[in-house]
Amino acid sequence: MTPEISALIPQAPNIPGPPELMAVLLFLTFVLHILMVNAVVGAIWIMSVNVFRSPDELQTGRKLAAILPKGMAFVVNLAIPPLLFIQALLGAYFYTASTLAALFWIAVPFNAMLAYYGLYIYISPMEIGSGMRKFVLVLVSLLLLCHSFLLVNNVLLTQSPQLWGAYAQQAGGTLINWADPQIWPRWLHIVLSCLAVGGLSIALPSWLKLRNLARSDAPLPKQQIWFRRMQNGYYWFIGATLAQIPIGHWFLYSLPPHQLALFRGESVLGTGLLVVSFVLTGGALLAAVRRMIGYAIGLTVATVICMAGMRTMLRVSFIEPYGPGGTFGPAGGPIWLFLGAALVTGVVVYRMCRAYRNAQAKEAV
Amino acid sequence: MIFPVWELQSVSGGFLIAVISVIHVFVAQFAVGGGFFLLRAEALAEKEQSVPIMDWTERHAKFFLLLTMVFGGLSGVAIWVIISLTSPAATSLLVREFLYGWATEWCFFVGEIVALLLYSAGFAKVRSGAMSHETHRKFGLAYAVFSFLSLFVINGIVSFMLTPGYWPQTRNFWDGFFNPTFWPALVFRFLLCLALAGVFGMLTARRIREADARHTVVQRCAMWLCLPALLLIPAAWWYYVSLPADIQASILRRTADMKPYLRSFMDSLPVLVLVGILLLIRLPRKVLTVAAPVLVILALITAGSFEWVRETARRPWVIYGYMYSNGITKELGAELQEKGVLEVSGWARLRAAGSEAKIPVKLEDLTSEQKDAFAGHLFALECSPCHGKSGPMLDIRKRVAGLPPEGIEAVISGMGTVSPYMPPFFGTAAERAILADHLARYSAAQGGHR
Repeated sequence: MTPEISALIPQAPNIPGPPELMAVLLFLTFVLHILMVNAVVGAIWIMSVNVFRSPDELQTGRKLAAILPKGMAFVVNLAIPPLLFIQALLGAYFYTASTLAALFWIAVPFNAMLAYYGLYIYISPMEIGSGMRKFVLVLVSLLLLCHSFLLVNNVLLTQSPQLWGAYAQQAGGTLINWADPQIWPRWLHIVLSCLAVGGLSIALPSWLKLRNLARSDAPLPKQQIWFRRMQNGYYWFIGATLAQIPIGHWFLYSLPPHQLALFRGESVLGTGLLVVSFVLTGGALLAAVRRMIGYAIGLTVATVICMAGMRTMLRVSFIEPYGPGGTFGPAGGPIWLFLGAALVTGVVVYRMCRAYRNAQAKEAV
Repeated sequence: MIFPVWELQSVSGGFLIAVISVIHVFVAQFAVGGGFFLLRAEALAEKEQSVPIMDWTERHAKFFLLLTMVFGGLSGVAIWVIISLTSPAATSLLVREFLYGWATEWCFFVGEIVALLLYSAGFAKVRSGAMSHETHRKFGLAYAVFSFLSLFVINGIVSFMLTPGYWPQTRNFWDGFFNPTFWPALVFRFLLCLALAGVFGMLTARRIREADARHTVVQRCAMWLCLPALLLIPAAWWYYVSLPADIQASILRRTADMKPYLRSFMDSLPVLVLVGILLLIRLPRKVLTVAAPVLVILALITAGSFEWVRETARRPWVIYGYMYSNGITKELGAELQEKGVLEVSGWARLRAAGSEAKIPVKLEDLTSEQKDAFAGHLFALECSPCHGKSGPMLDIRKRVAGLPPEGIEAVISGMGTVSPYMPPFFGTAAERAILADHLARYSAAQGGHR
């Protein structure tokens, strides 16, 4: 690390809580967020391809898509705590990276807003014509694709202070980390993860619908539509997961030697997480091939958790040479305010969901 | 701590914050009042046994969801993003000092989303008989309570920025949160939330086809607007008298960045009430079609002016008495004045160098080109949080037009004393001269625009 780079890193005093606590809160909330992102964004991308493949997709697929704006609400909501905890834990790095790419970073919430409204237009009963409906869905997909790239750029800039020197010529917030060999494989890795989990998020409700139709002796053609949709979900999951083999390797080998070594024996935890991820992914693939939806989902969730662990190790390893970027103090009493609010909200949300489920069951009867 | 500065070439950071935050706060306050309003609307439909009113309540709930959850939620994230880009030091401080406050607010936000989605979807269940009105109302009540709690938390943090109270001495979360204007600000904002609920109610109520049902709903909306809006007057007074004397004086100052907005707030509020009173009378649908959007615009002017006055009253501070509006604390300011920006900030040195290869450490080592780049950075660091190099807000060209470098330097020297609502210049005399020279040349290049 050059003295010039070390002089650039701001130091944040009195971060409220030990770094381990921050890291745990960041990890837990990030896992929830990324699972939701993968499920919702992946499903949107798949649907935007499917509308061009099957004539009935636009009609019946919209029934399935009706849940997506609600999912989007939770994607946005669950983005808040990781964004909060990363600002507390690594604010010195995060704010700097965001400023260097400010012009793109400010576009992120507006991009998401357009995509969100686009989804509502796509599922709305308005008479807007099938061509326009397809156009809206494709536009939403492109916005989200662009969104994912901007987020990857920000993450890479956050953990790469050695690149911050570009500010000398680019102070207008236009920095994109093109030179970083990780940028393309990391982005593609994320896109494929979304497509794989999105495939499962299409297969699951299709399977549930199919089961209900079969129980109620619904006409065979109707059942076939949902069967095809379930199959389609599985195909996307299997295809995207298989494509992850070369892309995942590309991402792994795009890492600098020190970080690559973490997953090749230097760190027991890093290597263990990588091996376990391979095993879990293999299990999930096998479960999908055998159409065992529960196992496929469970093993995929476990894989995502391992991947998030590896991602955390990478971030720590990249930033370690530059220091913590601040000093940490005790969490103090306010943490109890947060835990109390989380508990009360959890109880109320559970009771509301139960009451709604009861009404759904009553309606079905 | 010094972050890099986003060197905006035209508009100021303050302008971007103002545009995003005024619209967000307007919708977010509707999100709080609207929950209570929906509860009462549903109760009214039940009491009157009115299908058109119940149908309208359902439609209004959907409109409410689309506006508050999508636009309100994401514009809230947008504020967070823009303040972190234009004022990272202040954002970092707010995140660190109130970390668990923000996290608590997020919990309430989760509750709001779940309650609102279930409440909106619950109408169909009530119609089919699968859900009782009582259960449905409980969803609405949960939403209203969560949204109020959300306001309670955010109000503590926002009011802290204006009146941090004992926090600078104790650095205690609760001292900052329950600051001297916490309660008056909460009451004021909550009344504004309720009034906005009436305003937005009018926007959808005008579409009710049945004349009697429409009139009943419009009348209720007008009452929701008028009663809280009337109470806003004593609440605003309570808020004002709770402020320290110097902030009170700042509000009453007759400068161009304050006077028109205070005037606008004081003029638009009575007009809003008057229009509300007028709407108590049974009016034709055509009149309502025009009046409702006008009312929304009037309410935006009232709420926006209030936010502007509150933000401007804080000047030259972003956190009153602790951190200036350009993110420089008193402590850092003293260091910058003693050593100079070039010595203290690695980002300024990097920017002056124009490349990583040879970073200068002394002002005397800078070439004229490097001096200009450094001066541009100084402007971005110290001035651009409020002033743009062009753009609609506090255009610097108008402030320096026709002045020679010495004149501009004199203006800069008077900041913090002659112009007490501006932060002092932080840097050495030589750095001040470089900035003045840069602005004079910029003004001349722009044709001395006035």
